[in-house]
Amino acid sequence: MNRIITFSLFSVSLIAPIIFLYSSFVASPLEYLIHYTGHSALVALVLVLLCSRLNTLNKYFDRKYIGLIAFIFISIHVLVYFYELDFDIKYLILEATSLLYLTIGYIAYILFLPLVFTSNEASKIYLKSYWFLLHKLIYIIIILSLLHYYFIIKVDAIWLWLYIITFTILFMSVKKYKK
Amino acid sequence: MINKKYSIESENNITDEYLFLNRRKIIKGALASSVLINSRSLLSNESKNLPFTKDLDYSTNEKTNSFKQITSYNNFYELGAGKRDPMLNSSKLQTNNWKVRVDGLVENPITLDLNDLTSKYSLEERIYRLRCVEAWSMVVPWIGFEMNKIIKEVKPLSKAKYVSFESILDTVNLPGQKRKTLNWPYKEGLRIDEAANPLTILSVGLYGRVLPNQNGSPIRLIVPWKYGFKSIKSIVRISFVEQEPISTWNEESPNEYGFYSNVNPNVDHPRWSQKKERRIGEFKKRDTEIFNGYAKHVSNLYSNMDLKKFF
Repeated sequence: MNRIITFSLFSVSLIAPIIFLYSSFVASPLEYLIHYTGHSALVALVLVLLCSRLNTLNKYFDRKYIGLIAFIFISIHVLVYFYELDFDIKYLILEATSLLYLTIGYIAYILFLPLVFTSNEASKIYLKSYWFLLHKLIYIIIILSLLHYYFIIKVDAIWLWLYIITFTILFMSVKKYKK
Repeated sequence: MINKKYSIESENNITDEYLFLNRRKIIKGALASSVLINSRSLLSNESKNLPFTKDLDYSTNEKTNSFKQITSYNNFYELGAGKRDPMLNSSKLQTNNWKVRVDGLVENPITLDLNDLTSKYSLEERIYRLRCVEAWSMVVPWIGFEMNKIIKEVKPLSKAKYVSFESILDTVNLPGQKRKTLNWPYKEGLRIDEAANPLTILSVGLYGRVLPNQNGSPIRLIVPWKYGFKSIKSIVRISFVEQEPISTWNEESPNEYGFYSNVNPNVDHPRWSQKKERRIGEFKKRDTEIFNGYAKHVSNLYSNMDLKKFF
């Protein structure tokens, strides 16, 4: 049941931007896709944390798959960026090493990989308590993602502040839970 | 309707003989009065075709962006910070009774009204590349006149070294000015020789029509070799001054946006790259050219300057 809800939510969030791109005129569609997938990944990460805070939500969503969905969104985000630069490896490396927001973005993406590869039950059993420690990386990934976003904002930071407030509340609520 | 169309003509339905014999005159009269109505609607800033000549010396023959692209993807923070906001909020910009004051260190200060903007100086079409500091670009067929024409008319004094420009301030109607995202009103400036360069124009139209509000109606600056934010929109005042004037983005973040802000792929913005640009309508990024491809016309303005220092 919760997987069906999770996957329908995922399908809708993937189809929605395609419908939007076809139904209304978007002057810069690839830029729109980059922004959309970036925001979607952050929203998915909000949901992941919400699921671990609120047991009732776990009934409706599958936390593991929402985490994987965040990864899929961010992979599209990276792919569109590569595509716009024609997969020019030399230039991609130049940007990755010279622009802080991109360096941070890459680190966040690379840190996500071990979480994806150990998302199966077998890894959980094999890694035991290390698994939980490893998956705490998600907090670092979130902080890096927000920094990545912060560094490209010109003046209007309403969305950034909304994310910061939401994640701060979610981060703090885990401490309370432990006590 | 259908009944009427196919009904047999009754006596009083037949056209009066006088009307019939003078039908061409009557049509001509109707056309003339519609022209009058049109020129009146110009005053209320509705779209109207402008008379212009095509410029061949400075215009690019690159493919122009569509009217829809140019009018739905804008940076005009007075009308909102999103790219589509200026289009969605375009009616919030009130341009009736618009006046542009040209003053400062000049022999002959003038005030231009809305009608002057499109009728006082002969208009020409200039098809220019526009490169935004955010690394996107377009090709736009502007209608306007050279800034030179105003300079010659007002006759700057020898003390005048710079030109400052100021946009509209309307905190009541402009949604973006309700918050102090920037230090309103928006201000920009040029060195006087930059302003006098024949590439520098004041634009009052786009695609042969009056400038849409979201593009900076009724009059805006176009400096095609500089980042787009230098091309200030909806100007109310042009002043000739002695000192380097304030420019809003420079005031906001001086290490990120310089006074000169010439398009330069070799000087990155501190946070992002300026080496390439996203041309609206294309899927792959293209290389950015020094001075946005206008080096031939403007590099002499900066011959003894370190462009990394004076970015």
